[in-house]
Amino acid sequence: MNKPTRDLCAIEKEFWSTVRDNWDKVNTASELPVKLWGMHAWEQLSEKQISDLFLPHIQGQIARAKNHMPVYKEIYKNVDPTKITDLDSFYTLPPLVKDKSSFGPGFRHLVQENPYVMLPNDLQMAYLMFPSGGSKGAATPTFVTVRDRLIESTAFARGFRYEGMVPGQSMLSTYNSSHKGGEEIKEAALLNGMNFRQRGKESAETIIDWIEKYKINVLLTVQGPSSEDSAENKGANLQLKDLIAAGEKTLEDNIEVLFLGGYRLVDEAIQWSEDVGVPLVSLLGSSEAIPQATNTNFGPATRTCKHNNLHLLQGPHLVEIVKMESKALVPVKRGETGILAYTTVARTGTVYVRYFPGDKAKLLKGYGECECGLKSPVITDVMRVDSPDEILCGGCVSG
Amino acid sequence: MDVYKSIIGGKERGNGEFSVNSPFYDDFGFMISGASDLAVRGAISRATNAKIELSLDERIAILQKAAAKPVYDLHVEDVVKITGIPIRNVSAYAKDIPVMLSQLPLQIKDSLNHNPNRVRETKPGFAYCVLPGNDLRVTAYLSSILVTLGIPAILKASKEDMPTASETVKAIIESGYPGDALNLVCWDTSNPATKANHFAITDAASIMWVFGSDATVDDTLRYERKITYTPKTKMDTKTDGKSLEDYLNPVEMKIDHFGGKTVLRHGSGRAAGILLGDVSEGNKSKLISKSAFDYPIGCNAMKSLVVVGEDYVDTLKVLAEKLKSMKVGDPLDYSTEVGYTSPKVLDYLTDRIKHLTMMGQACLKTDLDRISPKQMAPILVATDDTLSELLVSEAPAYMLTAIPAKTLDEAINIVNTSISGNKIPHKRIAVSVLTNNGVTTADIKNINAHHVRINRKTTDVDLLHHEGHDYVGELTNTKTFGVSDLEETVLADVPHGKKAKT
Repeated sequence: MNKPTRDLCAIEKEFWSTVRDNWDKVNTASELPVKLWGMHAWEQLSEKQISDLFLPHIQGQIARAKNHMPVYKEIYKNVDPTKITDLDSFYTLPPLVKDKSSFGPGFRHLVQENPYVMLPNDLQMAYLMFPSGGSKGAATPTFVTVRDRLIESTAFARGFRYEGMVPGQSMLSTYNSSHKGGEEIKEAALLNGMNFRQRGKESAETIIDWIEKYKINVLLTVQGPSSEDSAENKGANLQLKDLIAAGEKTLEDNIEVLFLGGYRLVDEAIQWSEDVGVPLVSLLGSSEAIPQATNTNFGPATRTCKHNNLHLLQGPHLVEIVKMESKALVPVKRGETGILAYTTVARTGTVYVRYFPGDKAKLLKGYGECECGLKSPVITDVMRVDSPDEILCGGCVSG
Repeated sequence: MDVYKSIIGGKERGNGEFSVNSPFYDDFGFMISGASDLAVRGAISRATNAKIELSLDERIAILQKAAAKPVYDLHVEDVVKITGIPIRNVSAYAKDIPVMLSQLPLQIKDSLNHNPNRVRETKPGFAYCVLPGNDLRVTAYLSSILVTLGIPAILKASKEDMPTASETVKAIIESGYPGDALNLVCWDTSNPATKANHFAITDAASIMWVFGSDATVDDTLRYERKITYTPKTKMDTKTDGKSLEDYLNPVEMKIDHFGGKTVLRHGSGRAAGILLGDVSEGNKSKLISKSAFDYPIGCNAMKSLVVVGEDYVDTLKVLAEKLKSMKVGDPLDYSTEVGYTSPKVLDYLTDRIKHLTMMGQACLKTDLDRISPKQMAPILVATDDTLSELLVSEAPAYMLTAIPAKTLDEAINIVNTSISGNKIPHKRIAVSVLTNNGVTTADIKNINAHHVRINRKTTDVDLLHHEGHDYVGELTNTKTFGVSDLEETVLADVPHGKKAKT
């Protein structure tokens, strides 16, 4: 079985030829060959290379947002998409925020009256609907086409490779398969050449039995902080804790990669993985945009990008950590904390441009600074914030 | 500073350190890396699925090998600094550990072999033992029994006991016992979130082994209280300004986590002595002082003495002199006989004794000499009030209460009677009858105690039947087979998880 190697840190030979042959020929990035989003070249590009490639298509996304998505009507009334030609102009764009803040009233209240404000009204094909972010109020929908999902799954598979998952392995997921993330996990696993099994409502004991009988060597599950593990909050979800109680030795003997979803890997999970010798990985993503960042399972033991230190995955979304500076939302510098923002580059369904999902993060390493060989920035301390105003100076950028 | 970790599946594990500080020595403490929620589930899994494919003799050999390891006195000083008990006595207890590890298994084997027609199979599941922390031998004691019988276990050490507990468990595993079958966990009990871990292990275990009075154990280990809510009336669609609580009845549920399990309790204490005849004859005064003051925080330390006969006053004088002669000092000094006591306990005792003596309900036979906040000279206090609180007191301190009796029967009645005039709800753990003239079984059969010692200390331990338990009987299921005289009877040695051979 192939193990991930530092070859992941080289640009595939066909990357630039695929870019050259297609990039300027398509109307939207969603028309680009899907395989492009699975190439690990993206993590070898410089910040300028990425912005040069993305900006023309982001301009297209901005135009679609302004002209075809009601949620942008108010905040983009003074935005001219044709003038967003470089990073400086891009940084002046007002963010899209879900709830009321100094950046505006948000769009959650619009969605509650009509969820289709999130659907581009020029969409001509069938779409999938996924909810997200119901913790502060009603969930808001993200609409994606089958191709949108495939693009994300292909990029997700890229993350899986960095996490040490290789073709031929067998994955078992206890994730909720009805979530967008759950669906894309399955697709990404298959795209990565892995066998896949999904948990329905089976007990922890049955899952342990499956791991043994089906020779499962990659496990995807969740483990939240103990403080959230109250009786009121258990639900029907299976957690790592339950699987450990049912068969720790089976996990120790069989699992080669353990993936835990969620905001952050809790300390006790990290400690457990070190105690029993099972590598622990995670990937940041949300229903609005997957993937966003990942840790790694290769490279020197002293590398930075372990546990809760994550490499940004640029493509098919642009992921930023931003701060307010002279009325513009600019990337933070190393060591600074800012608001997480993402922009869909290759989306046909719901377009997000500098969307604030409600998270903050700290930039740990800039481009080209991580010891593992991946060149994308490393972020850490990803956490929820109630309002972007807690982190940013407040005050909207001019449009 | 030393850090002690849980031992799960044969490996050290820990997450989230907390400190244990000596109440007596400002510069001493150690850290414990507590078992996380996940590690505790790992222990549950290991103990539940442990495979002990060793014969009885192999398990005994492992314990013998563990007994030979020179590790049990490594933490004697630590124990002294945490408990305040003099090093000479802690060292003596440490020496008991290898004896327990080597001798107790042989006693168990002998008990198993007693009736060759009887097949004993250990009870299924694993044992969860919550260790008390006031006696460094307990880990070895329980481990000896469980390992010999082949019962997987999770031992939850008290924080004070972690160094010795850790050493003992490591020794047994390093001697060849499967790590999955003997797990040691510890956590910061002051963190309320850890309660869930305790109940998780309790629910998974089939055998509970606990120490402490019923009231303490029931409140802290057995019952879980939860508030649930039931609707008072059908809720209106609009709140009408009412709060949620207006619609809900809080109901307290009391969940019994011990239900359906084999529970071994060690809740007795208040050891007493009955003195017959002249205290100066033989070594009776020595037996009394050793029973009461060698290890006053132990459950079998003598706390009260009934003096039978007409020599009560003289007896008390002799005992008082004995106590005055005891060396009070730094517990780390090998010549010290009287160590440190919790300042809170001393404050309380001083207060009560002063009050009782003022009320004429007690009489001090030694000075109330508070040498320092953490140390007091040993106290002998006398009362003739059979209802005195001092007779049921089990203060972890250097204090002995004496009361007179005219006859042995009267002494036995005093020993058996509580402050309320009724029988003590539980038996005393031990009563020592000290006599130069001998007693008969008929004389003493009515003493309500688990152990009755004749001219021995209350602190002597009956390894196989401590506190009246029959460990082999309680931890095994028994079948008796009838066999013909012509057939050879083979003792079925049944390790946990294996089928009996016939």
